[in-house]
Amino acid sequence: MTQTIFTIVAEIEPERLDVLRDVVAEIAADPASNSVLALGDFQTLHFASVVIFGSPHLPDTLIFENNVDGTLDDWLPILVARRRAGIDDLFANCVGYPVGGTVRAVEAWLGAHVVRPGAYHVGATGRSLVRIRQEAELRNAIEGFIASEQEAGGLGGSPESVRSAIQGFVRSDPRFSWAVNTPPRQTWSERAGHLARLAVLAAGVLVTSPVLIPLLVVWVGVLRWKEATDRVQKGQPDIEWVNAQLAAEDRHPQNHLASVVAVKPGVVRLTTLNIVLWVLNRLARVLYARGDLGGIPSIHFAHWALIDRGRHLLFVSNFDGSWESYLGDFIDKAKAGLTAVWGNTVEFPRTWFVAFAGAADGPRFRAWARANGCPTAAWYSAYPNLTMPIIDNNSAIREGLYASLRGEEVQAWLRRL
Amino acid sequence: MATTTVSGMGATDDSGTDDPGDSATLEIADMQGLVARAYGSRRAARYLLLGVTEPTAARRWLGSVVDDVATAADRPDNAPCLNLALSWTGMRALGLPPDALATFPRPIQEGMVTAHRSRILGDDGANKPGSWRWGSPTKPEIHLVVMLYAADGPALDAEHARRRAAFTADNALKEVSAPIDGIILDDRGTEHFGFADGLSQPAMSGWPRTTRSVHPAAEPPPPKWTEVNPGEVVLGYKDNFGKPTEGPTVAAASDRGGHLGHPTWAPRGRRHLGQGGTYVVFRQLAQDVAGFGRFVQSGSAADDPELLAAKLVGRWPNGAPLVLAPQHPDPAFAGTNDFGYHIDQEGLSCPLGAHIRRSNPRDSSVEHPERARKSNRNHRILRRGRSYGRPLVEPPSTPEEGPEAERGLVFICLNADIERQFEFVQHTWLGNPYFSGLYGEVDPIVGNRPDGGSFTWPTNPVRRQITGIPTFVTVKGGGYFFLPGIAALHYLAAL
Repeated sequence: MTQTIFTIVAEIEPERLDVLRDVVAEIAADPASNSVLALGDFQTLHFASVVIFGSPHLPDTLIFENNVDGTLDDWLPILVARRRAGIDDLFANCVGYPVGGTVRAVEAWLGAHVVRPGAYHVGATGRSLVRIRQEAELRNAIEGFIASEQEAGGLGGSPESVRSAIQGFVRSDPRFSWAVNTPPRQTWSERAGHLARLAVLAAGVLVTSPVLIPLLVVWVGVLRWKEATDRVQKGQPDIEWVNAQLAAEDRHPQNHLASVVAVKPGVVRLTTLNIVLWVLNRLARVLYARGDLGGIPSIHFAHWALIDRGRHLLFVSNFDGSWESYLGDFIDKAKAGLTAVWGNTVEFPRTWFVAFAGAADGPRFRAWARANGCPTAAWYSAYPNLTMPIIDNNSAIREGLYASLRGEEVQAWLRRL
Repeated sequence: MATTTVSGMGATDDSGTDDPGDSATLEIADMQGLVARAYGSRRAARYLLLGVTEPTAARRWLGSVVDDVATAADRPDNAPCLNLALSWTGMRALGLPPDALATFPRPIQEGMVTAHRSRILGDDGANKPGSWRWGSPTKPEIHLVVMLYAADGPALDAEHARRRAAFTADNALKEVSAPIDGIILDDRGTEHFGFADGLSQPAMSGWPRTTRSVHPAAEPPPPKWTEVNPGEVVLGYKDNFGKPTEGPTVAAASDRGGHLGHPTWAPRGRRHLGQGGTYVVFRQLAQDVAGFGRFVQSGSAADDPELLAAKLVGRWPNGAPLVLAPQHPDPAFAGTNDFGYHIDQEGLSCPLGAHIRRSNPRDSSVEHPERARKSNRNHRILRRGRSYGRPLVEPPSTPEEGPEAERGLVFICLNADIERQFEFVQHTWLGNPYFSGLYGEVDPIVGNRPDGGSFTWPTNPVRRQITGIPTFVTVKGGGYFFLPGIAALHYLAAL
């Protein structure tokens, strides 16, 4: 199943910034069902966010993040057809938007402002919004059944008999007729495709290695020289700026993080960044397709993208738990990848041979990440109370419900309840 | 200043830091004694909550007591002693310049009560700061906490009277909220619910002797579960990430007495005020002991109250962990700290949501237990609290022993990074409804459950679900403070 991760990035008309902020505040007050852009009406939209950011080096910019089931060509017509007025309210404040234009003109303008990820991660790989919601409902119903059976003194006996009682309960309820068949999270051909692309990459590296290796040695040498002298951030981030980010945080079990940071000047840094993102993206499709990003089990949708013609790097993430726990996971479990990416952006903590030190310097990395975070102006989650481990567990409950399980497997399945 | 130094080994570095374990020198005579010990041989303690009235007189008083402040190098004995901590507003009241105040970490600058912090600490409902006895914005600012320790009640009263005469002289300071008396219920460190407490403490690598809790530990704590770099607690020393913990700094020109040093990381012209200091989290937590007893005896799993209580806590009252002693409180494991959860991934012995498993998950991770253990080291806190209030007695001979009387825990912990340590433990572990893959339940002991809560008790063939759990612990006051090193106290007194 295809999922599409992207942002629409547009420059804001300077005199319309305040109007735009009011519009976004109205969305933020009730993202699912406000009068401007009711995001809860869509059956394929997992997460969305609006970020407004500008700096001395970047004109005020509107960043509208969407994480959807299906392709971009499926999604944009739905978005425009169902919520044309809201799209107008949002983007009419941006440079060049075709106010009063045809549907086709609006779709074309949005399409032209789409930024695709340089590298992305999806936690619930291959599971649509509809499926995630169905499986949560199924799990809740099974829990209710167990509770009422236990209340009545039932549900003892062997694991097999308990499981068949649960199967009987689910089968008797027509709401769950879909639960009998289990679609795979990823098809064989999807997996093979990602593996093939990684293999092509590896083969390419191998074939060109006589040229590539000397080039790489020189390249890393240049980077080593640069990273030893690059400016790094000192001290704590501005308290007001941190509090602007915190205002929206920890209101749900999930959180949103946005960051826009300037790429270090020069063609060497931009090229390095592009290569690192491309390689990470290929690796992630194969290594982290099960949802656990190198031991970080809490990310729903996250991506990096170059914006502003490669002069700024955007990062957006929809994750479980607090910023503090997310950054802790970053530092403990993904420091090399993060350092290889963000080491190419300004004031990042001192790196060592591109992928080392940097994010491993926990306190300095956290200070840098806050200084370069952006307040999320509006944020929508289609399932704010479902964490990644719960989504996975719900899927495993559904996948194991009618599967042929033997011996200890039955007990293991029951422990998911 | 510091003359006693102890050469340390640095950490046995398995945290993934880049530096090799360099030789650190812990200047323990420059640290307040609370860093080293909980003063267990002084059975009586009193926490005085003070406000500055006359800054000049207050600084003069501070100068007069600096030499009385017990240091980490002092030998433990029974003589009355004091330690003191300052809030950010307290340092401002004493006259610390704005440029220095701005270098404190955000939690210290803002204090315990902000809208965001109340969200992550669970300070809403019955815990909301508006109903606190002290420490909320509507109550007087607490500028200093003076912690007095003495052998017994009369000695403590005498010490308090003597100190009060000194700090109220010239209108220097006054007690702006009622003092809180800390007590030790027994030698096992039992808290009011009846469970041995303070068993799992971090130990700073390179420390001359193991830091200990109120009571003697049952055995030396195994380094695997306890060791952290000293900078995780004390500012200016190497932390788990391999660099010195950066504390607040002051302009060199303001350090007229030359008390403070200039570490390499500090900007030019600045001196390190944090050296040898740490940050103190202080929370007064009332425990509903009668309510806890009622719940375990009449709740939805009343068939075995003792086992239910142990499942909620994760240890038996004698401190034996359920992981090692799942069936009964085996005295062989009383108070032991040498265990992990990897052998009990399903939580069949110790439930995933049990209090001690939440507050220190050790190696709880199905896929990556060893990595979980290492990450766990970055979120440790050094606990130094005591109980308060008379124990519940049935039948009570005085109202103070009755079910309506307030009793609880003066929760005090030391850490170098409040957000990464205390607040993380409180938010990501204890108060997290989805901790360890659970579906919407908070810590069964300290969790805030305005509408009643649930607790998953894993069993075969299917789990039990304990429901209707009331709130047992309520916040009555709190604050974040700076516990300066001795040299920093000299500097503050000389402002």
